[in-house]
Order: sequence, then C-alpha cells, then structure tokens
Amino acid sequence: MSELKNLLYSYVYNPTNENRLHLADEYFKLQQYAAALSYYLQTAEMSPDKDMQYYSLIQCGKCYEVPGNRKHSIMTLYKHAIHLLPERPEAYYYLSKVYEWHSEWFDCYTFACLGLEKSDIDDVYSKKLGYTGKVLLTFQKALSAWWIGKGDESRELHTYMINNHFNSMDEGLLNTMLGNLRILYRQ
Amino acid sequence: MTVFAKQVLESGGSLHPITIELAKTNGTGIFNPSLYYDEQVDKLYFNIRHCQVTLYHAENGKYESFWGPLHYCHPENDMTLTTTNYFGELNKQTLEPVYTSKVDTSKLDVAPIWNFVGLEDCRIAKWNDKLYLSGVRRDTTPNGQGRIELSGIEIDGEHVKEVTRNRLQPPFGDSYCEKNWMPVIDKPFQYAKWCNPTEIVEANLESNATTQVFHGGDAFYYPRDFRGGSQVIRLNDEYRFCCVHTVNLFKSEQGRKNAVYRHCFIVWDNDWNVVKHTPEFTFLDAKIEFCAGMTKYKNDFLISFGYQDNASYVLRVPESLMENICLS
Repeated sequence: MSELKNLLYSYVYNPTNENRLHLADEYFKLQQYAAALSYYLQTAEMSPDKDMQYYSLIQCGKCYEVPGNRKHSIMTLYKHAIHLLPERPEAYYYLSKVYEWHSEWFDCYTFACLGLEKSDIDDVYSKKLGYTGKVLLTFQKALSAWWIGKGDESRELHTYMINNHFNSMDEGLLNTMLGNLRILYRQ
Repeated sequence: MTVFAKQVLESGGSLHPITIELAKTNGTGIFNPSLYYDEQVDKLYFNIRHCQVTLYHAENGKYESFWGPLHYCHPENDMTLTTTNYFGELNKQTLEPVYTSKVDTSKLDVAPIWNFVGLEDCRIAKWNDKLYLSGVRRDTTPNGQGRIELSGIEIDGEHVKEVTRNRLQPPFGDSYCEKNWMPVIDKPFQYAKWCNPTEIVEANLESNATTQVFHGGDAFYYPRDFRGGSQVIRLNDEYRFCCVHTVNLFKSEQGRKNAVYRHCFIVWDNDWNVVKHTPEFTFLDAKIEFCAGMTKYKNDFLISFGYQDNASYVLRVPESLMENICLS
C-alpha cells in the first residue's frame, strides 16, 4: 500500500489534526498541491495548536505558488499567518519573497525588516518549512535595499552575510550573494 | 452524519486516491471523477475533470480568502473556469491509473464565448457499443446557457479522442442551464433528469431533441432538491440506483457565497418508482464533495467522488454493504 493510502486510511479511521496534517504533507511531497491545500486549510481551521495552524497556512500559500499568478491569494495566507503569530519570523520571509517576485521592493524591504525583528524559533514547523533562519530575511533586506535606493546598506548587508554567514548559506543563496556583490561593487 | 468512507472501510471495502502528475495539472484541482467498467473489453475506465483553479474553502470561516470563505482561486489574469478532461484506465485490482490521457477535443472544438469553458462533470456511459462522456457545456452562448453534451470518444492505445458531439435540448420549452443529467447505463440514451419527482428523458442523436419517457407525478417531501450525481446503474435485477447530491447554498455574514454538499442514494424499482432514499452522508467529511461515477465490478460497487474540487478518490464498496444500505 502506498504511503499516501496508508496516511489516508489513518485519517479516515482517526481524523485528528495530526493525521490530517500528515496527509497534507504527503500530498505536498507528491506535488499534488491542490489536494494538499485542502487538507492544510482544514488543519489550519480546525487545529487548536497555533503553531500547527501557522505552518498549515504557510503551506497553503506554497501550494498556490506552484501554479503561479495568484499573488493576492498567496499574500492573504501569509498575512493570516502573521496575524496569528506575529512573533514568528517565517511568514514575514515568505511574504517578502512574494513582493520580491513582483518587484514590489518597498514592501519586500518592509517585511524583511519586520521579520528580522523577530527571534528565530527552532521547532518542528520551522524545520518542515525549510526556513533556515535570519540569513534568509537578511538576504531579502539586502536585495530589496538596492532597489529602493539604499545602495550602501545593500552593499554592507551583502558583505556582512559573506563574512558572517558564509557557511550557513545554501549553494543557491551563496551564488546569488556572490553574483550580487560583483554587480554592486562594479557599479 | 455518516462518513461513508469510514463505513466502507469498516465493512471490508477500500479507498483509493487518484492522482495525476504535476506536469499535466500544474498543481491545480482534479475532481469530479467518473468511472465505468466495460465488460466487453474487461477494462475499468475513469475520467477526471481538471481546471486551472484550486478551490479554497474555509469551512469554519476562520481563515477566509481575499474573496470570502469559498472561491475558485484562478490565475489573476484568467477569469475563466476552464475544464479539460483526463481519461484513462484503472488497474482493476489496485484501482491505480494504468494511464491518464488528456481527451483530445481538437476535431470539434470551437472558440468559447463564455467564461465556463469545456465539458464539465462528465459521466462515462457506453451505449450501443460506443463510449461517451456526458457533461454540461456552457461556452457556446454569450450568456452561459448550459446543455448536456454527449461526446463520443474513441480510444487508440492511450490516445483518447472526441469524435462526435451532440448538444441535447431539454424536452420542454427553454431553460437556462441543464446539468447533472445521469446516464441510465442499461437504457441507451436515457437519462434521469430529476429524481423527485423522477423524470426520465431519452435523447435522439439525429435531432438532438430529448423526449420525456417517464414522469413520476407528485414529489415527496424533502427539504432539498436531489441533484444529479453518478450514473444510474443496476443494484440487482429488481432495482436501479444512483448516488445524488444535495446542496445548501448560503451567504456568509459578509454576504459572500458559501455551500455545503451532501450525498445520498436513490433506489428505484423497475417501473421507476422511488423505493428508498438513504439518509444524507459525506464521503470524507468535507463540505464540498461531488460524486459523478458509479459502476459494478465483480462483487463490488465502485464509486468515484471529488473532494473539495481539489482531489479525487474511488471507493470500493462491497455489494453486501450497498444492498444493506439501499434495501434494508
């Protein structure tokens, strides 16, 4: 029996929020994003656990990111998450990313700054989200700072990240940072 | 409220998710599946509706979308609800897809002139040795008039092509939208158009007209309409039955649309007298579910349904359970 079917049976026999979330995560893993969204949204609506709700709302947003061109729906979900737990940093990061994709640099910068004021939380949901900490929000701030006329701040932040977070950046982020730095100092 | 899937599993049946790969769907909803066991070729066919939308339903109203508790989230530059159909074959033992093929409608397509595009909520039927998809099409008039269209299909390997298309007119007068007519599998070109009172119509593919061949007289009291669902199939030699839905459409406190769908079985004797309608149930305890398929394979009934317009499932229901539900 496939893992999806196993999890489906667990959910049918015992429809707890945990089992529903496992099913949502499996659909997400299988790239069945519409089905995943249904189960994540139900989890967000029904779970009394705010951290579980928070994670589920962000995952709903990710389910809309794949088909693309659903900016307002995605932003609504990340904003729901911020309203729910404003002291967690992750939703600020994902919202900042949405603004980045649409070249809305002032909002990209604003939400990166807001997220950086929050303490990182090292829990299961942060790990499941793939949120690796302040380095992500710092990059958002560094990138958007350039586009809103804060060239010096952008250069400083890029340099700071290379000097202090070189080992904590994944390859993609590191290459982007290095590429940006070359451009920033050439100009 | 009975969760039918749980009842089925506890009675020895099984539940099977149907998925289609991301490359075909772009991650949006696949729903309202139908299925049909073709005894002549010993194949179990299915059809799934795919749209470029994902349904958002905040069932408890806690995290509404930008547009309210219930809406189709479509691309922000595409306000249409565009349906394509994926047809395929299920493995009869595992009920997993053997292949899934987008129905090729290129021979008969015309440019849509309304924003619900494509053949929606198809039911599979085989009449006079030809396979059909029967659904509603609303894209041929500027006001979205809906008519049942019967698309003849041919299967060549894994290529499924629409070869004929008939747009059926209702038997009396004019109407805005005809949908959810249920093919009567053992009566060629007949449909259960309504269940309370029962109205059976027969289509003439030469003229595209339909004729009422049975009307059940007065309706019995029930608080909601029974709306079309699966095909009408044989329960046994004495009875036919189908799975229908009811819908409660309402507005949120802010005046935005919301809905709850439920299902039940309707059982007829051979003279089209309703002998039973079961209590309403949910399949998986969601508020939007939709059944568009039911067929018999060996000693089981197979029922296909959509979940929140985002996912598709097949339930394998033991014959004994179904007879118990429908006849006791």
